Amino acid sequence: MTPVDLTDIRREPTYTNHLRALARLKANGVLVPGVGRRVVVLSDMTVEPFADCLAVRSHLEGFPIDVAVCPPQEFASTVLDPAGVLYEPAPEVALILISPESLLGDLSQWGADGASHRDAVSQALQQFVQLLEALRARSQATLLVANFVSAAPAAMGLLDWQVPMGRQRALDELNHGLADWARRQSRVYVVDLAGLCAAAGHDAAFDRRMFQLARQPFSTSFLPRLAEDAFRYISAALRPPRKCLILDLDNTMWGGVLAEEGIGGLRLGTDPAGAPYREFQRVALSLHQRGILLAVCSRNDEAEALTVFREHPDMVLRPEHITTHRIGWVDKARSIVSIADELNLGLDAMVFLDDDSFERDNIRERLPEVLAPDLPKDAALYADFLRRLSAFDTLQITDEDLSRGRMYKERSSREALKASASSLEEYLTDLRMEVTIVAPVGPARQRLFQLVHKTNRFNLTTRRYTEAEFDGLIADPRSEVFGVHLRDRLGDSGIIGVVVLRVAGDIAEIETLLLSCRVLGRNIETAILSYAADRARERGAAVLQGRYARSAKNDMVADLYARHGFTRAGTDGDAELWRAVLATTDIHAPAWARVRAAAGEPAI
Amino acid sequence: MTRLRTLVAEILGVDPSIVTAETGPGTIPQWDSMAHMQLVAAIEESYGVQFTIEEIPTIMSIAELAALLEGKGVAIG
Repeated sequence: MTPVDLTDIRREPTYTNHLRALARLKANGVLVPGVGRRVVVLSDMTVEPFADCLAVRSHLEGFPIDVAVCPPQEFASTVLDPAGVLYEPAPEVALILISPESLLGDLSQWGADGASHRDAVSQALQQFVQLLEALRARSQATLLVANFVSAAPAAMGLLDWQVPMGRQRALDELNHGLADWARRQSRVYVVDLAGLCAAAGHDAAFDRRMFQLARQPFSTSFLPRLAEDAFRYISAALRPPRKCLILDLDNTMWGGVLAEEGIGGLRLGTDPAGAPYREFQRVALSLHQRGILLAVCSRNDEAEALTVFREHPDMVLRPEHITTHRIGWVDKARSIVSIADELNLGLDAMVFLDDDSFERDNIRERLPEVLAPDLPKDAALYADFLRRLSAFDTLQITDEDLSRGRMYKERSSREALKASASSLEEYLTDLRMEVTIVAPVGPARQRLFQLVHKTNRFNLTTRRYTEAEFDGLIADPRSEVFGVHLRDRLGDSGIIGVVVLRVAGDIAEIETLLLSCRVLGRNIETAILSYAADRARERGAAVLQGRYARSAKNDMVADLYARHGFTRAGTDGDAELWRAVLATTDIHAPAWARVRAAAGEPAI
Repeated sequence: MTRLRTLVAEILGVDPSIVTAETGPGTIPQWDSMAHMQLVAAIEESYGVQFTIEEIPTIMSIAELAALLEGKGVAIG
């Protein structure tokens, strides 16, 4: 296996170049069945050309997926055949691309009969959802379901929106129904195929001739873009998003060099020279609003640069949006490490954008975990580049994500309080923390699952459950899954911890114990262990068993059980086992933290 | 015809030396029906032409492909 040069696709992402790359990847033994994360594409149409582009795309992104295609037959037959490609070997993701015609019949014959069409749409939706439910019950895969778009022209022509249920209306209703259902399910997400086709333009996205020849609906020139976008969904389903965007200032955040041109000379505003930077800042602001932390790393005079954030009339990003900054004449690699330390994030959670290729190369060389992609040469393309960056993609958004920027600001106030308090104890008491145990239901379940996948440092076992495994634990009466919610007098930190307790005989084992890095250093872990011990006693256990599996990132919790009076009790595979006899060990919740179960919900 | 032969060889993942004017569907195992569609799409994209739905299944060799392209105003050396 030799590395394959893919620069031609980066330069010119044509279908032909994808095919060339596909042949090269196969010839060099890089793209072979069984290598990479398993993804199955399920369709009633010919999707092999799309699947080929998808496989190439995944190699281009450095995250190979092993794409298999189910035979193009009726959706129901594929779902109900237990021996099919859909189930063996088990995929991690199933991408479902079903034509609306397979549910609604020939849409070019869709007429004016509103009442019967309405029935047809609701029946089709019901039937489709039932099959998806059957698939979900048979497979542990995450289901990515494309919404509906039709290449067929509207039979009614101009009348399509004049009649009560025209063709487009029917598709819209199907799509709303699908999205409403999917939102209520775990591990089912909608892929906005209709939106992707609209963005490309239907005339450019579809090729009737290819459909008539080979039941391949998409024009081949659209396949690379479709694969790029489909890959973003797959990547978001399989790997955690990065959490922090670090931005350079001169010629990245604004046009021009501040030290030379001064605040009045910067290109930033609504004129052609300044508009690209404003649009770029707007995209960065939208990332901030969904929970990506923004930081600044620039060679500039600190006071002068901060004045721009406060006073320039056309800045979109203001001081309150920037979680932290390193502005000065120091090496950027050191600045980035120090930002990561301050935010308690790993370098692999960072994205660094800088127009200067020297700085990017420096970071890539010295901090390879940081993603430092090439910015386009033309600033007008910055915004679209940032929108299309898959590094921040996620399929779930929680309340914590939406308010993360604010919570980090509250944390700064806490740091100030800590500096003024005479002892840690006094500081913690003064915070008036309330620790609430929450049950894994609704949005809380989603947040717990998210934490299981993104927490690295304060994570005793780093068990990354699949969504199906996690739901299984929640449902299993022998295990208890609960979340930890934290609030103090300075603000609400949301759900910041997860515990999975398994009870077998007289041993209750803490299979998972993790805390978000935002809240470390406040001894919340002691409060949680104390609660876990109480639960174990109530379940009739005599021993509380802890587990520590060392990872590259969790050294900080190596002594957690020792610190809490547990004694070493051998190993299990790679994990250390620690035990506390409940009758003789008392784990006291610290006086400063009030622990209680959420009102109205059972404790577990 | 070198450019056309090279393109076909690249897409089929075979050595260019085995692709001749007589090569076509079935003469080498890599040129199956799926590859045929891929080749047609790649040639259309690379040469900026479109084949008709009748033309596509009738292409039996590189020589025929070249003739079709010349008929569409493409100069094949």
